Amino acid sequence: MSDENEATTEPAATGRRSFLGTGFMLTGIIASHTAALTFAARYIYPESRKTTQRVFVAFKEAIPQGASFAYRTPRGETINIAHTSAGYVALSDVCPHLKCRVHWDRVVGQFICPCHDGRFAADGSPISGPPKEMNAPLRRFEIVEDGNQLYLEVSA
Amino acid sequence: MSTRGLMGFLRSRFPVDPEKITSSLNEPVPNHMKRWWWCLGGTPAYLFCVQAITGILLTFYYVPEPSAAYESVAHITFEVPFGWWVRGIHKWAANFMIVAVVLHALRVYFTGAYRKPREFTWVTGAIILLITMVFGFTGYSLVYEQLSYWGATVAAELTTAAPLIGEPLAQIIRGGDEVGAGTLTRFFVFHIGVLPTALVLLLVVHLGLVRAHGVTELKFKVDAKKKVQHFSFFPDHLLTEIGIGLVLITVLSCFAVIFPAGLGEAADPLTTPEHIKPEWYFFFTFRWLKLAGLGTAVLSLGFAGFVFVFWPFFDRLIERLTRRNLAVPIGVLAVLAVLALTIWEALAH
Repeated sequence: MSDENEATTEPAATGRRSFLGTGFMLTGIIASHTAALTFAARYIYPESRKTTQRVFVAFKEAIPQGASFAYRTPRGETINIAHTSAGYVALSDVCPHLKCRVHWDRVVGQFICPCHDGRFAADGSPISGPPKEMNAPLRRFEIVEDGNQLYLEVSA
Repeated sequence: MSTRGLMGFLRSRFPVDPEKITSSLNEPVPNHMKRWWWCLGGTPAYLFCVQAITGILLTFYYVPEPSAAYESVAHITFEVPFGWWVRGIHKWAANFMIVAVVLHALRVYFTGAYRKPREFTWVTGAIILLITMVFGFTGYSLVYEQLSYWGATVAAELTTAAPLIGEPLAQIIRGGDEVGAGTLTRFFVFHIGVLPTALVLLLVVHLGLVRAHGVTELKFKVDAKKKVQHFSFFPDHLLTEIGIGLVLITVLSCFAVIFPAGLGEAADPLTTPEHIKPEWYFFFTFRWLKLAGLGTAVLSLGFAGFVFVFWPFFDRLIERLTRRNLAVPIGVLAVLAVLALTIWEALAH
């Protein structure tokens, strides 16, 4: 009788052991490889450097009302700084559509993007082309006035 | 060591029966493939080998760093002996490869050769076509001239319009917040490492499926009268492919001499040139981008790409829903649309 019980229970026990063994093995393989893939993905994904720095751009007396000049940041972006009746305005030259560089067209008095003919007014607001459709103006930078000096907050 | 001894030594170290390998590879080839225009699948495979060899030769001198990339390409083109020839072959073989893969896809499409049970042969082939285009894009960007630099900038920005994955994908492509040194390194790694590996793996699956299913048999009236409907892969078809290869390398060499790979202005990240255009095989996407706007263009192109890759399943779904086979009219419309957009962009200033 007892022999019969052993004969019927042993394969079940072996099956459970085998199932558990395979389960642990599969869990281990999946866990270790998921971890490895996560590390690899994190390795490939670049560090985003969103820090900013304050840079000196000009003395106030160097930009009389109505005048403007182009300032180049340490990272190579050109920022057009103008002294308007509303105060100082600083605009990026990077088109918000696909990051091409806009240039100032003196004849039409507009910033023009050569990639898809996006056009902007002197205050950076979109006039026509994809930027107008997206309602995306040129990026404005904050100008900090400290005494008779002007500073910009730009990417470090 | 005698020849017999050497063969015995090799057989004991490599216990593989050469006859078994030959018979497994020696698939019966249908008679219609005696015509060269049915061998367009072998043509890009040959061109890929040309690209691999010339690409390795170019990496001997190319420097994937923004301050040196353009100069190194100029050095290859104007100073290294036969550098102009190697670069010319590499450039023209890339263009020919895209043409050959597209023609191959069109032939398979309009003969219905993608249908059950060959759906996944099409899927792998369609992904190979997309990879070939990415190959062209990354390779062109490595030159680091004005047009290629701004092409890369625009393309990287395009990806940001894709929902959810857009921004992370653009970060991975650019290797940072903007196109720069990180981007060039990544494009280089993609061009010489990631893409070739992916292409070879897909090619193995693609050719394995072609071998497993056999080539789709197309019956021509001329062939129907012949008693023997197939011919041998070794050596008959292989010789045809080698013959095509010889013609191709001659034509490529002529193109490299008559239309040498030039060099535009060096990339200037601070000035976008007045007129930017991508390579001709992206003209249709560029024109579509201008017509449809950023978000719509990216989403519609993504959807079109998805339908293209999984077309055999869409084809069956359309047939079930409409009870009509609309593959040919849909294909003709798609080809005409791509051609029209390409020509439009080519003629535009």
